[in-house]
Amino acid sequence: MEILVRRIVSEIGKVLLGKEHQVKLALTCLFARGHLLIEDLPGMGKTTLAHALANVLGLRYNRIQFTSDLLPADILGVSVFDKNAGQFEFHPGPIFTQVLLADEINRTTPKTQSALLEAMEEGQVTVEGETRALPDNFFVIATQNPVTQSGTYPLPESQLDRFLMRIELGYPDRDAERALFKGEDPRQRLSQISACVTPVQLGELQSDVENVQVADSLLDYLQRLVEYTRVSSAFSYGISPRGALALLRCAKTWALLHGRRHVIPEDLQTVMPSVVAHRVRDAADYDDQSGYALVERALNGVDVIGS
Amino acid sequence: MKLVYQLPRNSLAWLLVAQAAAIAPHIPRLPVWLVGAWLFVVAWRVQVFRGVWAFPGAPVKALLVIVCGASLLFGYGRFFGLEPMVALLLAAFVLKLLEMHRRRDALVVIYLGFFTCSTQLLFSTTMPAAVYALLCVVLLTAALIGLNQSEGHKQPLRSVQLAAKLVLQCLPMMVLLFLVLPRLGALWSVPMQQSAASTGVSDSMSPGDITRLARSGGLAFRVAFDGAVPPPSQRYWRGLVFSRFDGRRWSQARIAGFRDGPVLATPDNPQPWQRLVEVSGSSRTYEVIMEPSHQPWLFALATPRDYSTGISLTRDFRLVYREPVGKRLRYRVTSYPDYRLEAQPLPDWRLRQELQLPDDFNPRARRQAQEWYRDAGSTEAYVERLLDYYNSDFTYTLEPPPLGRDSVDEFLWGTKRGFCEHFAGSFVFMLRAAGVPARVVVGYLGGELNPLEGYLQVRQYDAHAWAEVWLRGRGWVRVDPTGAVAPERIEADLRSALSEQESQLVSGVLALDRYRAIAWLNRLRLQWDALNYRWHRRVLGYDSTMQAGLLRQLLGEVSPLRVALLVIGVGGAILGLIALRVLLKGRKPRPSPATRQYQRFVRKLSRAGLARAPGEPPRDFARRVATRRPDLEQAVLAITDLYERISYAGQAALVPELRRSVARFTATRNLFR
Repeated sequence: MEILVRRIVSEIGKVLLGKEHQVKLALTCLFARGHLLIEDLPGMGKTTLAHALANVLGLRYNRIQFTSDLLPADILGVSVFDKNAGQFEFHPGPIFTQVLLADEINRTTPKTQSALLEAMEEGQVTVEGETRALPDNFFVIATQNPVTQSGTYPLPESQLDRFLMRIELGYPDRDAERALFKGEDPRQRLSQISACVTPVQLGELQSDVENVQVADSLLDYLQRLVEYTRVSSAFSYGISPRGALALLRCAKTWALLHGRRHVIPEDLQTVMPSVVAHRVRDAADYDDQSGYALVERALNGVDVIGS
Repeated sequence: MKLVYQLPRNSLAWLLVAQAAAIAPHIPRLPVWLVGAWLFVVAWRVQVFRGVWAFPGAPVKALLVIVCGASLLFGYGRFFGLEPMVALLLAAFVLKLLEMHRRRDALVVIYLGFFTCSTQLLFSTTMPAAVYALLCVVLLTAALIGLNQSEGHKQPLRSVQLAAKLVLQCLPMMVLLFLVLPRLGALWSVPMQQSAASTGVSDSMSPGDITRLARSGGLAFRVAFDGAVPPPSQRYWRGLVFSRFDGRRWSQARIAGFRDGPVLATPDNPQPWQRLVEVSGSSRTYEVIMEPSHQPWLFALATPRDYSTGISLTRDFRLVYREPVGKRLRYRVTSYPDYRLEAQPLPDWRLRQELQLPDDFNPRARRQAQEWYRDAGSTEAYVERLLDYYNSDFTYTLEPPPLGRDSVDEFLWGTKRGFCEHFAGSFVFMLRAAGVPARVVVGYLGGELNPLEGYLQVRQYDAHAWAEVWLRGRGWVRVDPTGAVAPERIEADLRSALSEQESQLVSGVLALDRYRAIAWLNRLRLQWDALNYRWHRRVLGYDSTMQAGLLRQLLGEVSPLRVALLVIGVGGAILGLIALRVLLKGRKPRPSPATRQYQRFVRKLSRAGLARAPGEPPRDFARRVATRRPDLEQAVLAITDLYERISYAGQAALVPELRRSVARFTATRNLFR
């Protein structure tokens, strides 16, 4: 298992240099059957990571560039009248795929953003009164620019909640950047990435997460954390039961990725910023920039061992 | 418009409920208009809460107060007295609702409620009343709690639960203080209820009086004997002696008619006529708990010798209390069943008293009496003759036909149907007409034995009238003419003496004792009465004598120091237990054994200057320690690994190893850094 993970990480490392931790988090998200949101400034390699992930998992993928004039029909598909057949024929949109790369998702209008809601939650799409199932392993990997950038429509909480994780990439460190300058164009290298996992392996991996052991003392810690976010006055609202479940699932996956069959507090602490930061909000925060600080506060304030 | 302070909804609701509960027991005593005014004020207050109406202005309030005060004054005709004062208090309690501008006002209403709640005990001190008062206290406390809860509190039942819990926690302390606090006599006297009708036998007897009494099922008194309970035929409870007859009505002799000293004798003030009674043989001692009768006379077996203070002996050798019995009264009496009363020849003025008859009534009875007396020859034979006559064809009935002017004539030779007062009255008339001193005695006969507590329960339908005849050399002798007609009345009780149809008339339809044939119901009735009896004896009857006895039993010797120690000891224990419960409830659960060991390990490191931050997980901490103190690395990593495996991988079997490792682990301060 660890070998597989290392191979995947090194494969992606070919195109995205020095971002091992973020890559592992992204893998955790996908193995936990969750949708991933990558948030950073333009040009930080978000799309590259998304592409690389799809490639390495060997999944069919479509990419949609979200723009301000995009409409729901452009994503879901439309029925067109076929003169020869004399009836309407459905033309599936780009959403009918395994991995959907939703680039710059917050540059489109809320109307179009919400076209994704049903697909992300239920794995199906309803167009013109007809419900169509999406393929198995339907993942949305979305990228977005920080809300403070101009020309963005911030995702509403309900939409954010659909994403299991939100990660940031950050600037590469000196050595990685130097290597980037010296090497060939990352877009060239993207095509060299080969799939490391078969769909069967992916399915096994995903179901193996359920077998990771969670001790009572860890659940105690999780509950203390959740309670802290609900009680502390710094939080405008705390973690929902769905958020807590997501946190636990990610911690289990993280433990599995590291070859452990039980969850330790470090797992919880590592995944918590990515899982929880976009689900909580500071009491005095209006543009959703406080999540990481709040998670930090909770992690520092709650005793791991118990009192 | 001014900004109005709104009472919390929860508090107002409970306040209104508690007020209704506190007022409810007074309603039968209150004038109807006051109840109406109360409902009106409640409606107004609710409208104010809903923001529909405004609080009344000063003129309206003044008008309300004046109208209420004036109506009370006119309604009762006086202000000083228990009912008018309580009604005034209730009026204030009700009207204050319209003045609850602030929290302070609401507090005043609640405290008034507590006060009102205690006034209901002035009228009734039965056990249900006490339980009800406690319920009122719970409701008022709930209102008080509601007043201190936040505006948005939406769970009214929680307030009551909390209030009930508080009151329950107070109960042990209450009992302790009740037992220990000095029993003070009345510091002030509460004016007694004046409107209450007197119950029980009255100070005169005309045909039909006792018949009426027999139809009511009320309790007259309870008696507990120190020794064995005498048989029913000896349970003649003397209450009143009637020596005057005006043709229709028997009443007591005039006080001024007694010439050998004052009519009342007390232990402090004995009278010469007390020598007229001679007693012999054994005595019976018993305790009577009498229900309020609003009459001064008490009931005792013949002939009473020793009795509680406050009681006097009258010239006709019965007991009276110093005032009308307005609340439940407990007294002890020792009686001697073998006695000779006024055995010496009666002086002339006494003969005149005991032979008095109105002139032109009942001519036939007078003639017949003299005739029969001549035929009989002696007083004893004449009495026998009379009793035989009753025995011939008289009927004992609860529904005697009405009698005209010459009541004795009509009864003896006309209707021949009567109740005990007819027999006793006509019997005494016949004796007096023949020149034999005789008098009517009224009281109770019998009583039902409660097998649970071994006391007698004497009810109003046990009321009875009989006669006393003065025989030369023997003094006054009890003769009961009813016994000649209906011996069951004397041997058993009233019901068995009457026909089945008539016994239905005794006491009300709803009275439980009508259904004594249903075994479980009867048992329930007896148990309920026994419970009440215990309440009266142990709780209401708890006076300074009982208290002293109890304290002596508990402490040996009663001294202020010991009593204080008792209060501090028991009170401290009670409060301590409650406090302990509160403390235990708020305690955190005990950490697991592995966690305790790990905490010990963390403490050791902390003493060495390596403190763990609360949010630091074990592995991160171990790594930090290892970088700062490479010498400890191995031990710290081993312990951390053990702890992790026990705590998070469920390998509980490793706990002993962890304990050993932690015990072995030592971390010294690194002095060379």
